[in-house]
Amino acid sequence: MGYLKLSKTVSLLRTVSLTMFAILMAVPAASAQGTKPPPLDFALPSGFQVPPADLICILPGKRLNLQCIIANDPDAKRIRAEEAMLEAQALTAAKSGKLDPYHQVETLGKLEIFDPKLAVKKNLACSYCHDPMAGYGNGVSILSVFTGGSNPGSVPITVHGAYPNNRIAKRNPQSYVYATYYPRLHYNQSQADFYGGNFWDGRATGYKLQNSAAEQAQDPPTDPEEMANPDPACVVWKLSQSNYKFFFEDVFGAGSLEINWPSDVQNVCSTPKGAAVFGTNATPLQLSPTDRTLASKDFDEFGQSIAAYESSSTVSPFTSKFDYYLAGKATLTTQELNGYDLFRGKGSCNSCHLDGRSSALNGGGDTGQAASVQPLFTDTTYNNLGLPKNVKLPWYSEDTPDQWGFTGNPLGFGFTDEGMGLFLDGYYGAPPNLLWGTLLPQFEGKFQTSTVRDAAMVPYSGFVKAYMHNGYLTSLKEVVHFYNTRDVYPYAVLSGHCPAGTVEKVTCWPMPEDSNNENTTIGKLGLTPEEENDIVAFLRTLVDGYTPLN
Amino acid sequence: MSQMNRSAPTIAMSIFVLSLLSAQPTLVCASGASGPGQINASPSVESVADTFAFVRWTTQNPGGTILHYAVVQYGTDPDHLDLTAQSPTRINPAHSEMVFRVRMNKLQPGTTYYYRVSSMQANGISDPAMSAVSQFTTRAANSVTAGQ
Repeated sequence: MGYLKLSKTVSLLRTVSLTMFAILMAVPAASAQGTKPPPLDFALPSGFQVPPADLICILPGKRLNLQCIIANDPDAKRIRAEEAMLEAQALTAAKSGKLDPYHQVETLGKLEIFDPKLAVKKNLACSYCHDPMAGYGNGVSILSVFTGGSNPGSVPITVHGAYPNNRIAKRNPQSYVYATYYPRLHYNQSQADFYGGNFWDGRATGYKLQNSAAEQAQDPPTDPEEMANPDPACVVWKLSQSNYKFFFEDVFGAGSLEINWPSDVQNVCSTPKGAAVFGTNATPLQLSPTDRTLASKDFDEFGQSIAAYESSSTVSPFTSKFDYYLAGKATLTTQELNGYDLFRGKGSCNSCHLDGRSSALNGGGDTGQAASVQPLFTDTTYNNLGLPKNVKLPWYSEDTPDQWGFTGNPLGFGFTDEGMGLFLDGYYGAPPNLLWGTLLPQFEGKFQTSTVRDAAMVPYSGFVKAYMHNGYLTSLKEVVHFYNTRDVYPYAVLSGHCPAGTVEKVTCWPMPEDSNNENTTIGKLGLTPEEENDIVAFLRTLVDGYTPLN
Repeated sequence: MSQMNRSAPTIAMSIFVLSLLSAQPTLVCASGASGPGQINASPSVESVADTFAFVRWTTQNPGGTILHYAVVQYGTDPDHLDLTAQSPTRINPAHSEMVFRVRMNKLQPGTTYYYRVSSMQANGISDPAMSAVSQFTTRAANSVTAGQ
């Protein structure tokens, strides 16, 4: 009887939920321009200077000519040089014949991650938005300052006078260090909370491949704002054209990439996703059922091999000073130890950024046994920190059709980034577990707690790094100060409109973009400026690549 | 729920589904209980502006789910606290005490509000403590201060 009741309830839920999502999907895209963002007016971060090569890329109103930045910016050039070097390095290893199966899969992922030819315009590798030197996050300093760290994608916008003049992501790219250690997204019944998944909003659930990072890796190649392939099979076609095709088949089997491609494959696969010519067809390549199945299998293996590289000792090595401290091979300075005590005491940072160690409210030293010698510094849950809307995001202006008939953000500045709420509410299509949709009220506005490992990693001194999903914060000091004083200096204003006599991000925090479910663990921690600095010093001990003295 | 990203029919349907399947648990608190979750520091107004205010209190670590909700019931009539604000917060299992804070939004300027506080686990089970009724008055309209 009870089972029947449950069954009926689930059946009703499915019916109603599917109806709800059908209605959602049927909503026509807005054709009019969205609400326009306010004019930008902000001070450059202390110590930051626009690189001379970028001066010609600065538009009136503190906006960027993105195509100019892609072509001229020294960080952009550095990243492309790095990825070419790493791609060549991986190809040499692949051809050596000396790799064991474990390292073959990792190396294949490395070849894929640094291959710019996989983008629709063959101009953008995964690594462009995930710079190894920047902790696998945004590696272009000027983007941190002017665009919230959001990165331009593969597709330029050539409509006369368009701003932005390149498709661009709506968020600051999330680092993928230790991403493979996050479990698949699941709702923990006893904790009544979501854990795991990848992406700021958790939409890479891992439900199909049972590997969130692998499913995450499949998303940007077909995201219209990023690599913009119109069909997952286009990625496979490009793999079949690559100089490491042999290696893919070494790893996943001879004939894996032997697919009968249609005669228009080059034309279809060079047309960006979202182009009006495709309508709503997400698989415009005409393949036989057998070839479609094989292409889908290849695309899954593409994601899995990228995940293998992300879990490798290159990307997620557990070699920070703190790791060696846990191993008894490094000593933390007085300031770092103070910061650690604050991190797990007064600051309560380890309520979410789990350090795996004993904990005491008032600090007092690490007297307990290590519960984990490789803590992830995240609980993989989701929280709304109450971050202000970052008015710098160019995506808010991508509200008119580009030359392909694609409009990235029809709502313009009217778009509210609800984080996990977008995923649960069907923004990307129905979530794979329809029951999750009912949890929307408790999770709207929440974003994933990222690991703080490698958060302090930068390619060079003076590099400005963007933090949080919208890159509103541009230094670790700002991050800690926000946690400490969000509710000490709250103002019901938009960014750029703090009252006279206050300083934004110092004595003024604009209102949250989405106030639903705003977390109050943080907001008024009572830390002194010196204590904020101590926590930052501790965070710097979490950068991988430390060399112990002995 | 922000309404800018979705259509009115979708919102209406969402509300319908949620009302069927995801009703919020009712708060049932045992006032005056002792032990985990007991209030150590009485609730106080941390800051108040013209349209919002923060209330803060401290309890013994209540245990239970890591995700908790700090809850304030409030209103302009001390006998009818007909509004509720709740803020997610995460307890630290190793800490003996827990600070709860709630932000109340959309308050009327220059108005006296009465309130009492409690907390509950993410699964809806209430923690034992509930405070007595206290009061605060919001600042005048259009105050540009951050709250005091």
